[in-house]
Parts: sequence; structure tokens; C-alpha cells
Amino acid sequence: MAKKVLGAFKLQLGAGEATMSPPVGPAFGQRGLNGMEFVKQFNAKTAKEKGMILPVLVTFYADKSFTFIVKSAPAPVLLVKAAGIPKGSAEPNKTHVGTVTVAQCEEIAKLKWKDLNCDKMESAVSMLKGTARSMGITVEA
Amino acid sequence: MKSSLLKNYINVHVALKEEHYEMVFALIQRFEFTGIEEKLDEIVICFVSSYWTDEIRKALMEVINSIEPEAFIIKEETIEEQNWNEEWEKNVEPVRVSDDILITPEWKKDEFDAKYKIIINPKMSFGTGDHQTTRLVCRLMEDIKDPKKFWIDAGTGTGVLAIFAAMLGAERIYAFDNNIWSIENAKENFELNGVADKIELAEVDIEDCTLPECDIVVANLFLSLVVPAMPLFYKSLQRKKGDLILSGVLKYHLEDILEGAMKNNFEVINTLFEDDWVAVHLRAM
Repeated sequence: MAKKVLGAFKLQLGAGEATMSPPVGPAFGQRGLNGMEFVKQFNAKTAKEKGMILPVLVTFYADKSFTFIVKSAPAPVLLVKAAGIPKGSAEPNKTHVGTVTVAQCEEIAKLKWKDLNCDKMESAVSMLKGTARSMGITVEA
Repeated sequence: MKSSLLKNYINVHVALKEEHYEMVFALIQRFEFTGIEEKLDEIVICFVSSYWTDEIRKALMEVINSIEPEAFIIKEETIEEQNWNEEWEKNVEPVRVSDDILITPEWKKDEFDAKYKIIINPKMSFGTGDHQTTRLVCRLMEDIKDPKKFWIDAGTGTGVLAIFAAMLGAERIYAFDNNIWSIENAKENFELNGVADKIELAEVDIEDCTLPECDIVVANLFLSLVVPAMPLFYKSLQRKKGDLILSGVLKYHLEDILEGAMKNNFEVINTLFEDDWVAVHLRAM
């Protein structure tokens, strides 16, 4: 029989570096879930993506168990990474903060394909170019 | 736990439209937050309180307001560190690891019998027997032919592996962890099992330590810690051609462990699997 779902919550956590510090400890603790178990699993699953902040959707059940899905990093996060920008611009729409190539946009589009809601690769790349520009990131050919 | 040892955190609740979440996450990565919780048109950004200053608040909101000018801080909440796992820990059950090994909380210790009965009262530390990797490492430890030696337990957590090593007959054990909850919890559990006199306990970070020469190392950590630590383990085990038992690793990452073993002059003695997890027994050559 399927387990009864009680709810879900979404966190953004450093890959391979989760601890019981907030938000993990309180989010799991207040629902009576085993946060230590989550930390072990999350860090193991994301060990190879260290340095990325990843979205994780946790679903919890009436029997105090939980499951979670780690999603790929949001497109803007990947663009910042690809541009090698250590700091985000305080005025991204006014200040040029970095550069990415079209090839890098294509790589990100492939990685994010399922989430982008596009039917053609060109539209996905075009969408990413727009996102990059709005962040102060120039797209070069 | 002494309050002076505990950290405080600040949860910063920011009113923000959901369509702007991803952009904001990308641009605030330079800030040292411990994580973010997404709510409906609100994000909660968590910081260690000593990091949260007027200057950081101003800089953070400048970035967020560049994406959404109307975004604002709803409230800043101070959160005192505590045992957030307490509710779950109240329901910990005894775990049969093998025919001879049982891990049990103190309040259930009389319910079952075993040759090696490890009593663990968990307090926000890893190692209750509930996780596959603890059980896998215990099973590999059981196979060590001559356990009456000097052991190291890297990342001791509740102290479960150090306690089991003591029960197997270890002459001496050096157990360490970088987490103060684990140090306090391991100390309590060592006393509870009557093995405190055999174990030296230290608050040390594996990424910044040296290890004494020993015969056996057990390390149930994470892939990102155990592979970089292999040269450290090898140095400690090299002269005595000692044993290294590693876990905390998913079976999909076994290749990384084996590659690390080969590069660092370890031979593979055994591997054990349970569900998606693996533990590996290596020997220094």
C-alpha cells in the first residue's frame, strides 16, 4: 500500500556539504524526521558537485520516513558558474559582470533540458542568453 | 551540552516573488549562508549569527533588490542550536547488525541479547545502526583477524565504531570528529559501554590533521572526505601494512574509492553492499 504523504518542503543546499545547521535541522526536526539520515544521503548523492548550491525537494510521510529528489542547479546559478564570477553583481542589469559563450549556453541547455519547457534547442539557448543578459553576463559567439 | 559550545543562527525571511527565486539564488552565492528554505513568495536564508552584520544585511538586500526592488526582509529570527533530531531519536529501535552484533538505545537494552551489545543514546550524531553504512562497517570489522591492536575511528559520530572496536579487543583507540555534538555524544556512549579508558577522543577536522601510526583505520564519512584523506590514512598504516575500512559511499561511486586505493598503494580485501551503499576493506601495501 502506498505510504500516506504528509507534505513536502524545498531547500537549497551546498552539494556535499549539508549539516544539521538550519535550515536542515529545524526542517526535519519539527516534523520528527531523521535529519542525520538526510545529511548522509544528500552528501553522498551530491559529493561530485561540491561547490554548487542545489535544490532539493523533500517529501515526508505519515510513518516519519522521507524521500528526496535533488534537482539540477537553476540556470542562473549555472550561468554564474560558467562565467566564473566569484561575486554576483549588485546591479546586474546595469553592470557587466562576466562573459559566457554560446557553446556554454548550449551545455547548460542540455543539462536543464527537462526543466526549460522548450521544444527546440535554439529556443532553450535563446532563453538562456536572455537570462544571462539580465544578469549582466555578456554572451559571446 | 554547555550553552557556550552552541552556535546561534539567524533565519532571514525575505518577501520575494517566486519567479525571482532562481535569479536571486544565483546572485547571492557569495554570501556564506548555511542553506535556504523556499516558501510561498518567501525565502528563508540561514546564516551563522556571527556572520550576520549590518554590512552583510545591506549588501544582501542590494543584490536582492536589484532583481526585485519591492523585496524586503519580513523578519530576522535568532535560532539557538539544539538537538534537532531529538524527536526522531525518541523512537530509535534496536538494530541487529549480524548474528553477534546488536546496536540498541539504553532504554531498550534489556529487550534483546547479543555477543556484542553496543549501547547508543544518540544526540544529533551519526551512528545509531539505523543506516546501512554503519552496519556494513561493523560487518567488515568483525572479519578483522587480529583486532587486539591500535585502531583509529575517523569521524566517530555517536562513537559506535570505536565502541565496537573496543569490544572486539582493541588495545587502544583514537577517535575523532569535527562536530562538538559528536564529541559530547561519543564521550557519553563510551562511558555507557564501559570502554572510555581505552579510547582517546579528540575534536579534530580530518582535512586539517595528522594521524599517529596505527594498525586499523575505520572511516564512515563522505566520498568527498575519504578519497582526499587516503594519503593521510596510508601514512598512518604504511609501516604495519594495516587495514582501512571505508564507507559513507554510494555503490555508484565505488570506482572513485578503488581508483583512490590504487593511487595510494592499497589492495582491496573485500567489499560489502547493502541497498545503494558500499563499504570497502583495504590493506596498505
